[in-house]
Amino acid sequence: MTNLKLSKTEQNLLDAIIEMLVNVEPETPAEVDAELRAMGLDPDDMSERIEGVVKNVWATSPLNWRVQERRKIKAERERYHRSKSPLMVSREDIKKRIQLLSTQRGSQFASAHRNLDEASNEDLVSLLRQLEFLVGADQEEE
Amino acid sequence: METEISERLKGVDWPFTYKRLVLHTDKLIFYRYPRFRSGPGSQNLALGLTSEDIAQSAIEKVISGRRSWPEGLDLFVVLKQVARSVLSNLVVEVAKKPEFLLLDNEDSPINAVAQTEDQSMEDFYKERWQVIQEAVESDDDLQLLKFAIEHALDLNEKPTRSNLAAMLEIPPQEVTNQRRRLDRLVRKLMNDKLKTVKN
Repeated sequence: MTNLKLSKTEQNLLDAIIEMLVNVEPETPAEVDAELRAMGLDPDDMSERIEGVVKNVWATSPLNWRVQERRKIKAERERYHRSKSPLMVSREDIKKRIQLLSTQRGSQFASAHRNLDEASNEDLVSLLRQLEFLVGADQEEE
Repeated sequence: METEISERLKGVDWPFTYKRLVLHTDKLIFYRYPRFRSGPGSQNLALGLTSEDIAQSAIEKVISGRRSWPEGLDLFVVLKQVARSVLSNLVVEVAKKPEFLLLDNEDSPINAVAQTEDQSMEDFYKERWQVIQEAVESDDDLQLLKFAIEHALDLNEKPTRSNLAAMLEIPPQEVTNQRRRLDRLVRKLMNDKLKTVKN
């Protein structure tokens, strides 16, 4: 090996040539497979292997819409459970709150629940929880 | 936006992309990271990794969204950059744990080189320079190709295939053929040299 240092020009030229050679690539699937076989690799095994890898990574990828949906459902379920905190208010307050939220949700929903006087306390609480959940979901979508 | 990426990822021919990326990674190691190669034709790198591991890692990063794939950009170009970055990080890891370097296949010629002298990157590039010059001098067309690359650099232009084709007044496909020929020659000469060192 010579002790001479490469000049700046030689270094630049070498770098350009190496970069060019790094990017010399086979173009067709047949050429790719032939080069891999020459390296002692089995292209068919490789295809199978990467399909398995892609499937596994995709199953948990944040870019996968199924994963995104699962996360949304989980978040909503948690929010729903959080909304189930004990209610320390009167029957009249609950009815007022239901009417307010029903109006927010639209007239059809409000009219469907106008006979609040006949509902049991338990039904009123349940209705209020559902409405709070739905109104919360509406706000998130906005 | 993410739905668009999701759709694009679903449309990728992964086996073909992966196999191309393995070949590219192997070439990158051969030309840029010589000390990671444990022998001619070998797929084993430092830390017990292979070219396939590097390519898989790059693909995993893009599918998992850890590395972005901007719309309109060729996925293979992105993956090549990611593979390069994975290799650079591996260099850092190996620098911390030099005992893992060239761990496997102790009889390989490159190990003989590594064991007999501490081959610095400067030496490596000098050696590559000699081999490339030797390859170029053996073929008139390759000499012209080298002159065209030099000329492009003098003009502060990138020696792209189309630039070189225009300078040499040959079809772009002929530039591709010449590049391939040079690649084959350099690899052969390098492997012959390694065999000589071994013997």
